[in-house]
Amino acid sequence: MAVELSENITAGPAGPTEPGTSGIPPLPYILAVTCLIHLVAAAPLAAYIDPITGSIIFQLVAAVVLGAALTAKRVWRVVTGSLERARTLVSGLWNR
Amino acid sequence: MEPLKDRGSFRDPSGFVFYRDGEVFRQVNGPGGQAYRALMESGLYDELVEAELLVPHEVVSTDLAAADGAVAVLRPERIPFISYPYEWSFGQLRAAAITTLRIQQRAMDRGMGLTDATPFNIQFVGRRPVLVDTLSLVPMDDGEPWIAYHQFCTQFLAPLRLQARLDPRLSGLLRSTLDGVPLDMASRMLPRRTWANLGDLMHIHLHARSIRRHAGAAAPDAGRTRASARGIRGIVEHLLSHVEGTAMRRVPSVWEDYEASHSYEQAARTAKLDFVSGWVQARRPSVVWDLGANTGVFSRVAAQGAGYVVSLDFDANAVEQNFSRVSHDSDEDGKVLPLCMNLMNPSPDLGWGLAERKSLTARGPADLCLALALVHHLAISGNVPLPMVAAQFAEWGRSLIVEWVPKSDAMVQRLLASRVDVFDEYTEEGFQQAFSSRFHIVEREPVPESERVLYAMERRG
Repeated sequence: MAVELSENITAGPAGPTEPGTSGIPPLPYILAVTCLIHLVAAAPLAAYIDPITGSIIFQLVAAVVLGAALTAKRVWRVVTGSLERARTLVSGLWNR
Repeated sequence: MEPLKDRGSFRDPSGFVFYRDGEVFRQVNGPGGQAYRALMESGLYDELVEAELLVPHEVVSTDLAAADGAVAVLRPERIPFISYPYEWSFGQLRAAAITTLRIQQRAMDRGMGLTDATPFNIQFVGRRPVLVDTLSLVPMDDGEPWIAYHQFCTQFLAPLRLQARLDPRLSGLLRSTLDGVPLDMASRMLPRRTWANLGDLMHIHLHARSIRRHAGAAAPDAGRTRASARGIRGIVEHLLSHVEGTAMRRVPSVWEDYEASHSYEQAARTAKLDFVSGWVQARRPSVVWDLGANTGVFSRVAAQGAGYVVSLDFDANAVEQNFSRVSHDSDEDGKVLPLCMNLMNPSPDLGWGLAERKSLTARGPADLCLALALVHHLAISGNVPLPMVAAQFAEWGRSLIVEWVPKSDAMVQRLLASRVDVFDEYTEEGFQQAFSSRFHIVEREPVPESERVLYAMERRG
């Protein structure tokens, strides 16, 4: 869809980019959990609180954990889907 | 007529909301132009509008801009009544949270994301929550941390989990903490067993610890810092499943059963329904406020003839039931908006300059107010003199349907059972006198099989 804007802006490229597709091996997962524990273990209190710093750092580590969980969930779905298809196929052959 | 800038729309340099000739506009300024263009060209705008997740708009001439620097002026579809998260039931806040996350998911699929995840950017059109801040959608690289994650957790997740785990009346907390519930506070308030819940553990408890741990550190550049794209999607998906799995804690309330426990008979109920229906069908008001609506029975009757009905009650359970019914009732689709509102302490002006969030009164007046089985609660439970009740109703509505409930009524007797009767002025004569100073009494109809009386009134002046 073309969008008409006034000329006093510079419009940059926009559009979808490819999502990351690499799987998460167990080692980073373990490291992430270790980091997570380290991140939250000590809790010094600063006088001037910026919640965004801790939130972004936390997000980077949480992304590893929950990204791994998401990958595992998708793999699980693929595996159970394949097993279900195989079961249907075998039962169809058996009934024949 | 000179444009009037919305006093609550000043934080975002990429644009602001203004009013001109009674219409709402959004001006897009230089910094927001690129994001706006990306939104439109990525196909995300069309997708979200089609899914009824984003308020649609039309592009109008920049000649209509309210200030210099406009690169576009948008005319969004008008929201019938602006409401705020501290007025929503648990179910409404939950629905708004789910809408926000679904928008974020769809946006990420198209290389974009929400730069803000605040419930103030969501408005309800009846039962349907929609994003109204078009300019909060900006380009976002794969793996870029979600800048609004913390905001989502404080403004949506923490209040929801507190209501779910402790008490739904904690929704009122959002009135005093407009920026959301601080995560360290939520973490301390939530029961210890929530540490065993992965969602609460990750997004509230550990998140709060991390914020505290890094409070003094320099902020990483969110634009350059990268996680795995799947990881960021994993966070959003996990938040979504956590919110979807959150149910309201039931705290018993006498008001949610009012429809079954009130003192009047079926004939009286039918007469009240007919009276309201007849008046609304004859006058066709654009906006009706049903004051003390309980679960919204009369709101739905009013909705059959009115343009839009705002259904107000102070009881969290009753409003939740009302919202649940609205959500499942297709007849008045989009015409009834249930809200939590204590009329003894209605929403005031709040925020910067006391002008960011408008009071209930500033969002009126309605064409018609319904005040059924309400006056005795205000006058006797609340000790508000009848002339002050009349004055307040005159501020809220141009016309009024009000039910007079005499002292002899069983419900009033119940209210008087635990207090000294100092309400000498509480008579029908006193009621008529108080309301006549503010309204013309148009109709008086006794409710059959009761001593109650229905009045229809038009505001003076």
